Amino acid sequence: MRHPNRFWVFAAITSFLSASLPLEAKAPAPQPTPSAAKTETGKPVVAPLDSRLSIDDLGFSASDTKSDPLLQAKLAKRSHKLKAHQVMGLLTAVPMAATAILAGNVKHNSNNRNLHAAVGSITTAMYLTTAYLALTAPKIPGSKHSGSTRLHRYLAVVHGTMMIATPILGAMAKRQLDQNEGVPHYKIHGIANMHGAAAALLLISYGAAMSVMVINF
Amino acid sequence: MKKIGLMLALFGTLALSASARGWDGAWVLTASKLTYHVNHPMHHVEATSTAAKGKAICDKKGAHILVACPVKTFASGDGNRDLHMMEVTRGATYPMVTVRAEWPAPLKAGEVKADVDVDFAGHQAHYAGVVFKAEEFKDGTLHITGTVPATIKDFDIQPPSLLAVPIKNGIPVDVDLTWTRPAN
Repeated sequence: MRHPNRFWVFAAITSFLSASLPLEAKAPAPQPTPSAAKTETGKPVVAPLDSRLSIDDLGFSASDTKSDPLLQAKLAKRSHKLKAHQVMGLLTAVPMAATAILAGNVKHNSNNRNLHAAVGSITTAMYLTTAYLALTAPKIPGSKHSGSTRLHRYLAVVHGTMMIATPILGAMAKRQLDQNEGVPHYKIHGIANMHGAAAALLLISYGAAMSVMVINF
Repeated sequence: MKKIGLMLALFGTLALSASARGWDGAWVLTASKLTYHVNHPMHHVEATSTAAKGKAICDKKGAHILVACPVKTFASGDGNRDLHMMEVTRGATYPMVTVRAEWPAPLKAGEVKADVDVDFAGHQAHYAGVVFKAEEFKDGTLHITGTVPATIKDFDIQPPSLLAVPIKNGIPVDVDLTWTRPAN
């Protein structure tokens, strides 16, 4: 060789290029699919580039990727019951408000008192139906109560307790008034006197429970 | 003089090889934040998942990206709402949301447009020319952000309603992805 140095320079550059330049992506070459089209020479066409990427390679666990139709059915039943709970809850607010309005003139008028008690009974029946729908909705394992739903459940404890106390106290108050009909300036005494306060707390907590699910505070 | 020429040739080769490699190779998703937005006249809901996994392959034709995320990992702060979301999006039957994107060459930092295919709730939707922003950091990581303009009609989802008023059709998804090249 006339110029040995040039040869070694060329060899060094060539070897460096082959080492540092990745001419092809390092991922394995795609395997041709059985149904892939063939070229005119009869050789199989290489599968599209996307086939190198598979969800199986991402490392998800079987519990993440496995379809669960039973859970889907459970979720559907749960949603259906809670939707019915929502509708019944809104409808129950109507007789509840009517009962409160009818409480205005019950002390000296037995007809008003009876009407107030009747509408109150309807309220109680609808309330129990609403509560039943929520309590029997399927529970999903691993789910946690949070956000507005948790507050809604806390308020349910308050208005649920008042919904039990108010009719009982109301019945006691009604009996006293019925037995003392015509007695001027008769005042309800004892625990029955708490009927109004219990009803007021029921109304407030029930209204708040509805509001937290509707309004984004 | 010959030595200077040799050094220049070698240096030029090094520089050329660095620019030619660029982003070529396989990338792995190391951090992610996917957030969907739901709009209702009385509520604005956001739910976020950081459980996505992904891989990408970059070559002369561009970047081929695959990202997947379990539907159940999206959290809005209200467990009851998230369970209802699972029900309406058929999240137990189709537990994964899969996104494939094609990012045409040349690959470089800045604003880019990519075609995105989303597989969700048993349906597929194609979004062409979605704008993403790519940032390359000194440690070699790649940070990509953008918004996929998904809608509930694209996936045949029955819109949930509150007080008989349904949610709006648009459910845009914000993506925030950090990619690195695995060590060889």
